[in-house]
Amino acid sequence: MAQTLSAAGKPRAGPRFRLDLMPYLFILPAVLIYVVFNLGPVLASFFFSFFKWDLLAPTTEFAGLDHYTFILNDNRFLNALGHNFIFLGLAVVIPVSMGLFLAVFIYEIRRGRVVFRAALFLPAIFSGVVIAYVWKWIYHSFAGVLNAVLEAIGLGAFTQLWLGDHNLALYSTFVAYTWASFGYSMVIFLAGLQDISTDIFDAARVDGANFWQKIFYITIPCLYDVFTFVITLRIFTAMGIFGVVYILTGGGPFYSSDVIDIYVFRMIGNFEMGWATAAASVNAVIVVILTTGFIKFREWRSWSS
Amino acid sequence: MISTSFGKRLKKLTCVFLVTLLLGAFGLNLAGAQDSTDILVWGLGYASNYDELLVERFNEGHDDVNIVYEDVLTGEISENNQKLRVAMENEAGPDVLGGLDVGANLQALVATGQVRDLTEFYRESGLIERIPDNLLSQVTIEGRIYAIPQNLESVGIFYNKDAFAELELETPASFEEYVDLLEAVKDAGYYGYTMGLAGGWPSALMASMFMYSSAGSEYIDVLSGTQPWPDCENCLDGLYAFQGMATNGYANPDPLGIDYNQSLDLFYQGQSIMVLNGPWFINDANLAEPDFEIGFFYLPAVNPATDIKTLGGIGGSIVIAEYAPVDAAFKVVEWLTTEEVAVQALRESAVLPAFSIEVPEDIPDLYYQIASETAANVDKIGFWPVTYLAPKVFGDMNQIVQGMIGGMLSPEEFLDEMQATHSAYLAEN
Amino acid sequence: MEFLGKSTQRRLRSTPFYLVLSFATVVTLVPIVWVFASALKSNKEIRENPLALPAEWRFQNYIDAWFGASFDEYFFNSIFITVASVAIVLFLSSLAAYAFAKMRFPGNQMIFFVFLVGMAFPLSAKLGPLLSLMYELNLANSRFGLILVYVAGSLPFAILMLRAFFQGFPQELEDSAALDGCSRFQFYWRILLPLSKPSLMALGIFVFMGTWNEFFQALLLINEDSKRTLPLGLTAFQDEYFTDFALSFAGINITAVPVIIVYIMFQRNLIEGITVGSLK
Repeated sequence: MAQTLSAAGKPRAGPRFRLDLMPYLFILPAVLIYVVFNLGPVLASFFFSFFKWDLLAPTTEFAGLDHYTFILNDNRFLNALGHNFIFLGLAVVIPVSMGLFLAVFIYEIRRGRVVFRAALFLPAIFSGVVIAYVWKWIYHSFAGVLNAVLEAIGLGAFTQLWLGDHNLALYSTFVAYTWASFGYSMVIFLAGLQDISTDIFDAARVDGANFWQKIFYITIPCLYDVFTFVITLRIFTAMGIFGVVYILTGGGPFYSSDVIDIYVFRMIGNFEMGWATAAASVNAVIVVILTTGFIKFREWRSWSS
Repeated sequence: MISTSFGKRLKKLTCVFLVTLLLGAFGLNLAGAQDSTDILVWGLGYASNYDELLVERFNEGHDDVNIVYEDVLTGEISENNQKLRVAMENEAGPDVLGGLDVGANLQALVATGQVRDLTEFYRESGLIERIPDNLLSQVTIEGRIYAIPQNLESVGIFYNKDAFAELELETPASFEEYVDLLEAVKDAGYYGYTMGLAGGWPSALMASMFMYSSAGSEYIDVLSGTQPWPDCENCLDGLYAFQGMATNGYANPDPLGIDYNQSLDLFYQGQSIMVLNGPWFINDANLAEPDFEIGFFYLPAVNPATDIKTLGGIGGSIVIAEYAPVDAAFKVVEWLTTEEVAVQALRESAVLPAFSIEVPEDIPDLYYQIASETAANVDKIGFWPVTYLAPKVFGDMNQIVQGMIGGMLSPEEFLDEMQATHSAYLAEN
Repeated sequence: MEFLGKSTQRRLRSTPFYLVLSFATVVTLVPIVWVFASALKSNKEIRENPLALPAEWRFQNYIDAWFGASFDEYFFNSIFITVASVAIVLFLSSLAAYAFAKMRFPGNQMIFFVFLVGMAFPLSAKLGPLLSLMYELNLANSRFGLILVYVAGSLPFAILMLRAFFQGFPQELEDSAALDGCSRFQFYWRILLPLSKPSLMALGIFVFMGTWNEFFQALLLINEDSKRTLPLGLTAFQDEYFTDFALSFAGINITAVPVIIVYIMFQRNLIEGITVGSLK
């Protein structure tokens, strides 16, 4: 570099210790857009949750912890948060284990891997809106396919008001969520499996290990980091679920499928910006604690063992 | 050499980037500011195809003012209100807006100074003589008039005439007769009450109709917060009547799992033979091309002693934004309130104009029946009760109604829940 | 099993896997096939026999949805917003990732960490102030504003992914380029980017999917019908046409088909984009 520059008859840009501005020019546009339209609003949301909001523009009137006391005493908020946790509990078990087993099965076969992977991943590419409307029609009580199928195979007794029953609505939305998310776990597990050296599996076969032994003693331990990632992703999507539930049930009937993001959206729609930002901030803190806590715990576990 | 060419290139790129940024940012403004007599309209308050027709007709006849029509308000009521108020607050909303709810929404816009005082306009244009006093009072706040009532909507039961004839049913004159009718319909294997409460707003609206028709103006006191919900005994009668639609098997199954629109399909298909709805329903029904004739009767009041004759009220009103170009906006509004436009609206969308209540006779029978009955009862027409609730309470009410219909809450608990959410809101604001 | 050939053995062993996978595939795809089939039926058929295949294929449903319900506008809005977002994300994130991966400067680690922080929060954490900000900047209800929001949302992941990829580039490459008189931007533009095509592809497809499907922010920020994206348009459409069963299904398909096509064409890149980010 120095050579070229002096050959071109130009002195070096300056003494060595002078700050090189080029890297900052490279990152500047990205930082600008990111800070203004992403990080800034997040921080502002935290900050202004302590102030009174007048329709849209925050005022300087300090509200202290008022908004937080309100939402933490609001049964609707706790109810929605509880549903997020139910969602979370189910999401780290069901789509993840479905993804794991399907990935193992695909890994075990020789022909048709690509086809199965592509087909099983398909629902994961759709917008939450599309997923929700597909399932809205499946659950439809008089033109829906689910009850029709149950009738057709002689299980007419099991037909349900899938979205109208307050005991079922949340779980019905969870099924739609699962349909669209197990493919994610699957492709990630599959990629992880393909990274494991085949020697280990061959050695296990020579030792006479059966299918289940291989899964529990080789596959799962080898996929330790992949598990961490897949579950972190589930924590994230389960705590931030919106589109599917919003369209399928709107949180109803009578808040029986309400979740935090719908609560926040409703509050924004009602101009209750203080409550909305406080609720969103509580949720954000929970998500950050859950994800980083989980990742740290996994790191510590793998380091200590 | 290389470093300068690099510098130039980077500068150029940065410039291009910034210019795009700026152009994009102000593109909206520039486009909007080119002609001062452009009037942005978000909706005229009729069906959207009729709105567009009106706009076209106006623009053909006027060189100095041009309406720019945008179809914005097609979502949920609460979503629409939010979009409207946020946009108006930021002067990015419509210049002229039709179909605005009177009540909480209008009050909020007036309180924040978003809409123009129309008192002078009323006097100068003579509009003040054309609008009945009880309607005018609903758009008057502290002695000033802020909106123009547009159309009158009275809600009632639309029924399947063919099925009624087949089953030899009569339209009811009292609520007892109405319940008998529902029993007969149920025995014949049909649904007598069409119910789809999954989507939100119809839940609160329907329950409100029943409370209003049993408690009358007492219900208005409840809504305005002067009387506690649990103290309204008459409201309770209305709630029991409404809940009975579902629990007595008069309504279709799964009322909480299907949207209002979905439930209407049951009516079009003939499984359900009555539906509580407003005059706008006729247009929708015509589009669905049912193979039967549709009739109409008023839902008899749950409590005959109530002072309410018909349910419903001002279906929408016209307002002018504070930031709108005055002369041009008045021109648009003046035209919208002409007899000619009003009568045409009645012909094409079955809407009875608030400022021209003479019903022409050459319109379809059903239109004529509804319009003339509404006109005859104009002094008794109230207003949409739920529009007097704050959006948050209204939204909660939708869910609480679902809870009552789904058997999670009794009508008494319904009132307690409403009191809790309403007083929490009033305490905060 | 000694008497069986090795390949036969293997085939026997994997039969249960094929059975399970085939069953899972059928269950997964049935809803999609059913939605496609229903979009070709008449209302009466859907209502009376939801399980049957269409008696005759009514493509008219699609024509009605496309022209009758402004799906043409929604479609072009989606295309414009998505393509612009992807292009901007790719350019800005690769520029920044190159600096983070290959340049030493004070604050490198810290600024990169600030980007990572943005990935830790759920979407709802920024919505209130974002809405306010967009109105302040006159960017609410504008396609351009939505693009900026989407770009800002995608940048952290894109930078994380590309930085990891660029770090794998041998330093010698850059050194020898510098010897040949290449500035750092020229190196980035002429050498780094062409060599990173597969990664950029993967990232681009990933961002494409995310942007095309986004709903929450569009719902909040877009008002006018003529500016709606497909997912947003679909909700408005469903509000209006839910009693028209066949049109509903056609509308769902119009929203879904473009992603299916992109998926079929770039399946490998998309899955790479997902897994590269995860296995790093």
